[in-house]
Amino acid sequence: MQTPEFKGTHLWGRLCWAKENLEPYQSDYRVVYEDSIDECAKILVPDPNWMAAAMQGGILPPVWVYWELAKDEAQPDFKKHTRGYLLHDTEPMPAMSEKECIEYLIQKDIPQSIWRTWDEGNRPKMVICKKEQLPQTREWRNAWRISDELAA
Amino acid sequence: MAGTIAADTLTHSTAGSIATNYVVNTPKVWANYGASGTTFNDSFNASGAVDNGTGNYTISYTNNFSDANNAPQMSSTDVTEVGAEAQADITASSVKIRTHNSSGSVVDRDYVGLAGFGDLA
Repeated sequence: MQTPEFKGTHLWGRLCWAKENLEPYQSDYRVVYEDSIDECAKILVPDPNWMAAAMQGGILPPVWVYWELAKDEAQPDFKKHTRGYLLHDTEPMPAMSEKECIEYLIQKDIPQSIWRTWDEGNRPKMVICKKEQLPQTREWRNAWRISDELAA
Repeated sequence: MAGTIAADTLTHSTAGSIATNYVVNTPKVWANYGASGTTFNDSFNASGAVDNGTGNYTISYTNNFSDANNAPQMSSTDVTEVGAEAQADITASSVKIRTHNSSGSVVDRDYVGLAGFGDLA
């Protein structure tokens, strides 16, 4: 299905079109990352409707838009977004492969301090893996760490 | 009586368009997240969920809210409490959800639901 010409269309409207017209895509990829030695590893789970929109192309804004909004939110005097137009007016991303979608999502939803320096230090702070590689039991969930095997 | 209405725009007789009023006061995000299986069941306007640990999840939005004064509503099964623990857990771009049992301990459940109301950025 061809994506309509959405340039300048409110992102909300583009998402409504995607929800109505695209089949959700359940990715098997998960992103495991550690951002504190005092906490267990965290797992980023991609949303299937978001994945469908990202793979379709012409719907989602470039990831730098979210970085700009995050900068605004990080200001101590932040009250309200005044640059929301970036979400709606910036040329949408073209169609992406599944792996490109995961890379985009990492840069959107994982702290930059993790993904910008994921392979610096004694061991990787982040790995992309398949859902089946995650432990199946939640019993020791709060002790999960990136295993040396996965990190390799 | 059955029938179909087809129109490009609908105009309210006194203020604004019906479409605008309809969008303003509807949930801007919703999600049904399979917490124990780290899988989204279905959603709208969510980009991803981060499993932060037992009974602790962050759901991020695709179209951010305009500010942190949005109103997320959360649900789960067989828990005493489900919700944000602090105002800081509710931001314009995401919400952190925690689920507790009757002893006050965080617990995982098969399902966590979210619906968020507020103005979009």
